[in-house]
Amino acid sequence: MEVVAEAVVEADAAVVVKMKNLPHLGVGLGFRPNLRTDIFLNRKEIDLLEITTDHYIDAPKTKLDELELLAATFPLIPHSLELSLGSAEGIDQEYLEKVAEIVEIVKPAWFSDHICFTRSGGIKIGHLAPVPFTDEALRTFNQNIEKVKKRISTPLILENITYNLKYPSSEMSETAFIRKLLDETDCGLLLDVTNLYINSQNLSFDWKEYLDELPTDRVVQLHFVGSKRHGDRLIDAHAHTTEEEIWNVFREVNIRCDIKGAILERDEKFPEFYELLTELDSAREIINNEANVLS
Amino acid sequence: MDFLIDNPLTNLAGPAFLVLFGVFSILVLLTQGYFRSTLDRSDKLPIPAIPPEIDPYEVAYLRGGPNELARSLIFSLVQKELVEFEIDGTNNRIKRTAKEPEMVRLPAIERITYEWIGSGREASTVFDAKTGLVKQLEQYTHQYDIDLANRQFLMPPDVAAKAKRYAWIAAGLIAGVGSFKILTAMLLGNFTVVFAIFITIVGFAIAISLGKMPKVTKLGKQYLDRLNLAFSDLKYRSQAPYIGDNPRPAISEGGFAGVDPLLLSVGIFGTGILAGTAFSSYNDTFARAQHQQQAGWGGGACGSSCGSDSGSSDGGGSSCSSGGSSCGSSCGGGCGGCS
Repeated sequence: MEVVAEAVVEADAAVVVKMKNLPHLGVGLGFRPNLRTDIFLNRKEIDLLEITTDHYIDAPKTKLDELELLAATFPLIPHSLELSLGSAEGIDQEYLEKVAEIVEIVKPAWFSDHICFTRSGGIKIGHLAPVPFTDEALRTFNQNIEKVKKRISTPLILENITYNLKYPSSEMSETAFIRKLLDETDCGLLLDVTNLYINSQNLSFDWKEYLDELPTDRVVQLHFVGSKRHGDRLIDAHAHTTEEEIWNVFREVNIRCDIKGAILERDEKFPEFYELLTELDSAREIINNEANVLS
Repeated sequence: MDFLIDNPLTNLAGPAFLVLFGVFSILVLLTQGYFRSTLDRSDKLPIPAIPPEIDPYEVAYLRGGPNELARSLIFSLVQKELVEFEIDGTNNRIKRTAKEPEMVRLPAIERITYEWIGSGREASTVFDAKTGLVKQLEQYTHQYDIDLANRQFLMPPDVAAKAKRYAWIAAGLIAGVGSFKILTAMLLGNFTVVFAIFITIVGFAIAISLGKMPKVTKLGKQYLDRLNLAFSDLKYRSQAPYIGDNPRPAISEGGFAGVDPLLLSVGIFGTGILAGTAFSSYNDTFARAQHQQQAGWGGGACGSSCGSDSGSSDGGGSSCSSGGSSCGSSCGGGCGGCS
């Protein structure tokens, strides 16, 4: 029994080392086609891009040319939406193949999807739906991620999502679930600090305590963007400038984690491009200052 | 000696010979085409990235040779209000404005251009290979040739020589067989050799024309395509401040590594994008001037305001349509004869 425990500890340590060895890619943007020219005009200000994998699946040649151009010019991180790792019915093998093809073209340091399910009974639900934090859900993730890893050897990192209600059937906290999930699947964490902040406000918990319980040594990448107030709730609309409260989460995470990449995730209501660059500068400044403090 | 006029080839009946000769010529040309296609393998190299800093003049040179470089330079001086056009009927002159340039702030290549214009020049003389601006810019074009060849964007001279050698071998084979048959037929009193002469001439001409390699390599074209794709929106956005009655000041938005967006657009897409803007008279003038000189880029490529012919879906070769208005006339002149 002791031998098994030691082996598990060693395996965990190996994964952490693997995560630590991932390159520091810097601060960048979620690529959107309408930003393309501005991105190239300001190439020096952008360290990396995150592409939405789904935009290049079954895409016309012009999109694939765009992908090649981006890959030749920037470090790219593919971010997929539909692996549906929490689906009890398993992985859509055809979709997985297509994600694998994109990953092969881009050759990224890592790729990402979400801690959620987006498909049920063979039907796409068009939404990142939360899973109950149960052992059964963990087993489902394990099985699905194993299939992904068999096909794609590039490290996979998983993103926390926003959700509006807690399943009564949950057997553990979100942080405990994430810790077990990452331990069992050897994945990294894509921590969306905006999602964390929004959940903390909507579900009334302390985000610092959440961070205390999170396996921060597994954090590889961050997402950040402003939230949107809708009545008494916050929404992850990807349409607003990052507010100070979210920068505070970012700063705290930066103190606790070795961030390999941070992506501003803006999808709507695009401001003048220099405003996005200002946000990137702010993120870069936080990361660099902290690095200086630590060194 | 009898063998020369009594052999399977000379004994072959006219129609049968024509079929055989046609097939032979096609095979020779296909073989030549195959060997020619193996000369430029640059497309097998990694896709070129967009560099953090782009020299719009270098891009203009890659796209359209010395003429396009000269156009971009003069446009830059026009945009800086250091140079203007004096249009008098068909007589177009470039001259300095009253504005005094800060010479130390002008890039050296623009300074040379400004000095060459001096007290005024006929627009058509810009492209004169012996005395024009293109001649003055030789030190720069030479350097561009070296840099672009190092990046495998321009065809190395030895490749062009090889292509010519293949062309002469292919042309020699076609002309040799054709001429032999025509001569022996005529010696034997058969003068119905029109089709044989036709196939010989056409085959010869095609073989020789295949001997001309494009100046820009496949990789160079890919690079231009990628610039077109990367900056496709810039074409329209950089025009916008200069369309309408109240054009905004010259430098209207943050540039790319200190380069004005419109100048960068001109470098990438050609001066055709100026049609419909406050600078459209510039474009019209150069279209006429270019038409008078007709100097080309590497014997065939379009060194004019029609931009890259690289065929990108939303960029290359489409600058003529930009502005959506008066481009037909301006580009038609600029590209005349070099399609």
